[in-house]
Amino acid sequence: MASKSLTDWRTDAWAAFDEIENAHRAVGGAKPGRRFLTQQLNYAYTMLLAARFQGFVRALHTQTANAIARGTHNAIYRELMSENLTHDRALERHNAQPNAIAEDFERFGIDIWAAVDRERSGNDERRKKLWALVTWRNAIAHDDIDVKLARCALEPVTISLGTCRSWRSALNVLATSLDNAAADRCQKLGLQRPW
Amino acid sequence: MPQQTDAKSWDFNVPGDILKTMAHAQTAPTDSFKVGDHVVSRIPGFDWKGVVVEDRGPLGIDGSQIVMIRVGDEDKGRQFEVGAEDLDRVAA
Repeated sequence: MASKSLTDWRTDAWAAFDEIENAHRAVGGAKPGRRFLTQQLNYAYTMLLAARFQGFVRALHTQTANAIARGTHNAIYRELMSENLTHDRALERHNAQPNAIAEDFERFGIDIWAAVDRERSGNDERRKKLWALVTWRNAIAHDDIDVKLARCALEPVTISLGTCRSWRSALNVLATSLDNAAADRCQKLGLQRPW
Repeated sequence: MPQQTDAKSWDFNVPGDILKTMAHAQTAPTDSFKVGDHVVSRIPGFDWKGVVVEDRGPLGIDGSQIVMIRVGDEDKGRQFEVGAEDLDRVAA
């Protein structure tokens, strides 16, 4: 069973990503070699991946906080928990970069990335892809790609449709692992598994 | 005559704001809380008055609505999420 956050990721977010894929095809096929025609589509894809993943993680945090708050023995504790678990989250101010995710899930007493790494092999490499995506997202949003390329701060040095697909695939696995890790945490806190 | 509110323009969704658009994309029941609503806690012992600044959708563990509210000024106020079942709508 998946959380509503993960279900939304797999339906709404995927549908949005597919719209960009369809736009690629409409411009002239999805094979390599059309970079000058599709670079802005790749930048749009990058922004969308980062934005949707941030939305997913923030929703998952909300659902986990709600599940934990509902586990308290009375309404006053529930409200105190709810307020303090969701106040001033890093994900309200930052992109869904790994350290922001770690900071917010720490409120549940969990090292989320250690849990995610245990969940599935290769997640440490997928986390590096998340960093690469967020770094590229910031370069596009702040219009300083050339500056960052000169500092060798962007990896890979160009974005293709293949790059975006690779990021999307990594995010899909990370989303599932984050979802499982959050549900496991609720269970370890003595609560019914929420999803 | 339009109802007066102290909700600010940046409390509302604007075109191009992808995250907020996602949060608002789902159809909410007509009696659900909306951005700009003034609310108080219905839990005894909490005497704050806040404004709904974001509808987070049916993210409650039982599918209930969750909203982000702001208590206090825009700059110095606290923002946090509350389940709709713990809120009452009040006049501005």
